[in-house]
Amino acid sequence: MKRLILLLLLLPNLSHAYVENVTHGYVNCMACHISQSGGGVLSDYGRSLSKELMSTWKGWDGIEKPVLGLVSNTESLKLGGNFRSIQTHLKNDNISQGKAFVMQQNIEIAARYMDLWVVATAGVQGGPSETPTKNNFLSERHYISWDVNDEIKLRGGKFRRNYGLNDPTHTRLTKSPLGFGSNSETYQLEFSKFSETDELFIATDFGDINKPKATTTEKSFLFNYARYIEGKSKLGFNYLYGESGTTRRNLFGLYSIQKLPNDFYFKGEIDYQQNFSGDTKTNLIATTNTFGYQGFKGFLPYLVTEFLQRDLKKHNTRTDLAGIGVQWFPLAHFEFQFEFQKRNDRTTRKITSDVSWLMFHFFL
Amino acid sequence: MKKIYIVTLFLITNAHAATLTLSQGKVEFKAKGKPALISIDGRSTLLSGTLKGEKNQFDGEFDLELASLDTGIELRDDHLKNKYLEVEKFPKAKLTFQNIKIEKNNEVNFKAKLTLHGHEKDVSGTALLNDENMLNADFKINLADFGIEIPSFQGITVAKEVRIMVQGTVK
Repeated sequence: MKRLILLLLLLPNLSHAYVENVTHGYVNCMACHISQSGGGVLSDYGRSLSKELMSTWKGWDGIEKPVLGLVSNTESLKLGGNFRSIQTHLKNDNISQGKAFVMQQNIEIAARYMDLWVVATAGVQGGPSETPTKNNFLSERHYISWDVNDEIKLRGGKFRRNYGLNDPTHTRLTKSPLGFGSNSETYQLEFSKFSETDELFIATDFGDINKPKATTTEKSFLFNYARYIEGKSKLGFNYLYGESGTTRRNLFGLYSIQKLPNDFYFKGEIDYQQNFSGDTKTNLIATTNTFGYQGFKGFLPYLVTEFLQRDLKKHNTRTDLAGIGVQWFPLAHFEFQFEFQKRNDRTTRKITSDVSWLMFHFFL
Repeated sequence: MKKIYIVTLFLITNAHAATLTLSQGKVEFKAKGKPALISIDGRSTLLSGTLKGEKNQFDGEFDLELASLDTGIELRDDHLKNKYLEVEKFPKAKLTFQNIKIEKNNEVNFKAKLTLHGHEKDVSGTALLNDENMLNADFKINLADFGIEIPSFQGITVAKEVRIMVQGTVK
């Protein structure tokens, strides 16, 4: 069980947003995604961009359309979906193991009626063979979104909380340990507002109402404000107040995506959490920083560093890592990502692990 | 007599018509795509031109080879040049100055004529010449004024107003 938990913590993400595109002028997610906070079904423009901007080779005419061009979207109906599989390897003094499995398989449909979008995914739970709900039906997202006007959107339903960087790797230490890992989508009401210079999200979250009542899922309030910098960079602040059973938390975060000279970019996030459980208060800090290079079309090498201290009073709650990785988008619809990390977990003693994974992703 | 000599000498000295040649010229444009508010930037380094004049008053022309514009996305460049700017029919944009007043380290307002897409229109903006003789001019145009169809692709429509920045060393 311990191995499974560790493995799940090390897996990359099931969401689908590439925040580096901010540095190409796509300061918010809506050019490419139907979802205002990114991820999920692509707009027609997003599909074109996956071919024209993000892929090494262009392939054939129409390749960017659904199912490699076999199906066409219409103005009011967009098709999406994802298949992700992964090979992982973990080695330290206690364990040396490799695993290969399907992480995600689903389809997603977005239908438009006037200014309303209805979006839903249907698929099955992925994960290693030990995952208790593996192969069960899973709808990661289902929501209705109303474009009140060009600037304001309202959304209700199940989707990912828009906190911090919508980074494609949910195992980052600013994701899973803070409750934004795999299958963390919850039922929310969300208001969002966009202008040429900034964006604002305010949401109230009712938790995952599908889960049994005995299970305590967090209910929260979320505020996220980001400022665009010269149309190619972004700096954001967010706050979340959450309650779950007998615990509550305040979570503050800063995040940034910066275009750097010579095709380099930086994306980083730092979060500070106050967690209250009875009379016990625990302060946590987490940060993830990535330096990447976009000079080769569709081939993105990067360096990543991460740090997490779950209790600032206890040094033996620290995890830090340094990693090197590359994302490769050979053709529209196809993505490979490889990452190697040196990871230090300090519990009663320091455990140093070599972690690596190779992910394959095909989107419909 | 001495006074006349000095005044004449002063006039001769300042009456020299100077010719300033633009080098390392470049043009950048910035547009917004709606509704997603994307930033669309393009640039070219094929800008050339000269300014002629006396004192700080200059006339002149800057020419830009429009086929050299680059927005960083091939398909977007193709649409920009062939569908909207029609560069085969209208290969150059020309910015014509008359009596532009340029003083070092003093931002000035200017008016000029821009010829683009077969249309000539007045434009106005600001210009600044710095100590290194780098001239920066900045102005906005409305695409409709030049008979350019508003670009639109897969649900993203470019805003009518486009900001243009001209830069180069004048010596």
